[in-house]
Amino acid sequence: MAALQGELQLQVMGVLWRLEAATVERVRGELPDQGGAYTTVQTVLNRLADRGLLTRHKAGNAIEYRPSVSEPEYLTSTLRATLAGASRPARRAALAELVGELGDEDLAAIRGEAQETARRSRRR
Amino acid sequence: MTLLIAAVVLLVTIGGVHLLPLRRAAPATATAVWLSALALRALVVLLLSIIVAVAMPSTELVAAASRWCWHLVLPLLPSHLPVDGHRVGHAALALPGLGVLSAAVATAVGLTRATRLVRTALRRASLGSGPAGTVLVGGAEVTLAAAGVVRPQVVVSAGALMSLDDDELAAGLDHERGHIARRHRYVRLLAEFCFALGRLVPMARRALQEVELHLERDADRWALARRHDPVVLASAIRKAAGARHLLTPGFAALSGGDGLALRLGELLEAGERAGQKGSLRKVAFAAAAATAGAAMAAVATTAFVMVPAVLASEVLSGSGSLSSGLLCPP
Repeated sequence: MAALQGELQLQVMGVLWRLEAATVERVRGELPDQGGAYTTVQTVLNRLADRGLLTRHKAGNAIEYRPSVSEPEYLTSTLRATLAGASRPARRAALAELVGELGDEDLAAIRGEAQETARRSRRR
Repeated sequence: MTLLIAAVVLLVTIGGVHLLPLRRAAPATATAVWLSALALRALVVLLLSIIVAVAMPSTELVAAASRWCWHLVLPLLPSHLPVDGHRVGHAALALPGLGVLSAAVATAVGLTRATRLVRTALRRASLGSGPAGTVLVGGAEVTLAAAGVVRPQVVVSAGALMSLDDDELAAGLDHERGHIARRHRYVRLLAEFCFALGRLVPMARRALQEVELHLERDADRWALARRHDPVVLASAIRKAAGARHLLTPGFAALSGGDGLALRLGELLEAGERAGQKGSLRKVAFAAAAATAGAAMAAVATTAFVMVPAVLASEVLSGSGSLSSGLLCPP
């Protein structure tokens, strides 16, 4: 049962990262097999909000949930820790392997974002 | 001979700890005993360097060695340099002491820097507040940790908040609060310091790992005393087992270091032994008293042997350095 709860939380976060903001009904519709009962999905969303991973906003009569931790923030720390444990040549080779698989459009977008990140950290 | 006996007693005491069934003992007791073993290692190294620096110059062995080195290996130097070879030989004997001193300073600086780095890393990595006053950080791995020395905080990763259910999260958080409430960070810092000084004595790293393990067991029991299900805590620890890269002096992660299987086994089979027996303060006091006793005995033995040797050497040097004169004619 514990594993199931954790799994559903991960699925709900995945949906909200994709949609950026959604109501209970919308999240439920995006989950495999509807994610169970409406109240189950609502409980999971409220739990994630209580834990600080989601924020609640009023959208008309409904309540919308938005992630307060972005997907890149979620992933970056893990990637950084994984790469930090590798040797310098292995780190470069792994990054080159990943970047090499990208198209020109993605590469240009990554370059732009990397420059923006560097500017932000310089300002800090 | 007396020194040899003192050294043997100290080494037997240190080695004897490795034979004790401490993994079955209460965590506080085991921690105190292993910490004492580390402290004794540091003491052995300190005493040896003092003996080398103070007592050795008055021995004929050193006089013969410095004569051999100064007059046979480096025959040209005495005739060109206005330096007494024996003084150089005696100065060389201070090197082990200087090595120990520099190791102590380097370790103190390193530990201070490591704790500062944890604080900086925490500030940079923080994404906001997590549940119950914790600091939320990124990361898909399940990370729960007590971070910092002066103002310790419980750190929780986004991955942990997504992967753990309510009971697992509560048990994991209480485990980390246990590290903070029981002031494990100071024990860990002291253990690291003793390890840095006594690392040349065999199996010092093993002793350090055992201290880490028993601190984790102590935090487990602290959490269980707050009415958490041992199986739930074991499940949280199992999920956190991937986040070991965080282990530094200023960090205590839920998964701990080695001995994960022991902790999981203990939790799964021994929910009934969850209560805390004995107080860390009492046991630590007893262990500290035992260590202090052994330390004082060793220091007294060393002084007992060294003072006459130093006095004898001063008498000899006052009467024209008999041993130097015999061994090293001008």
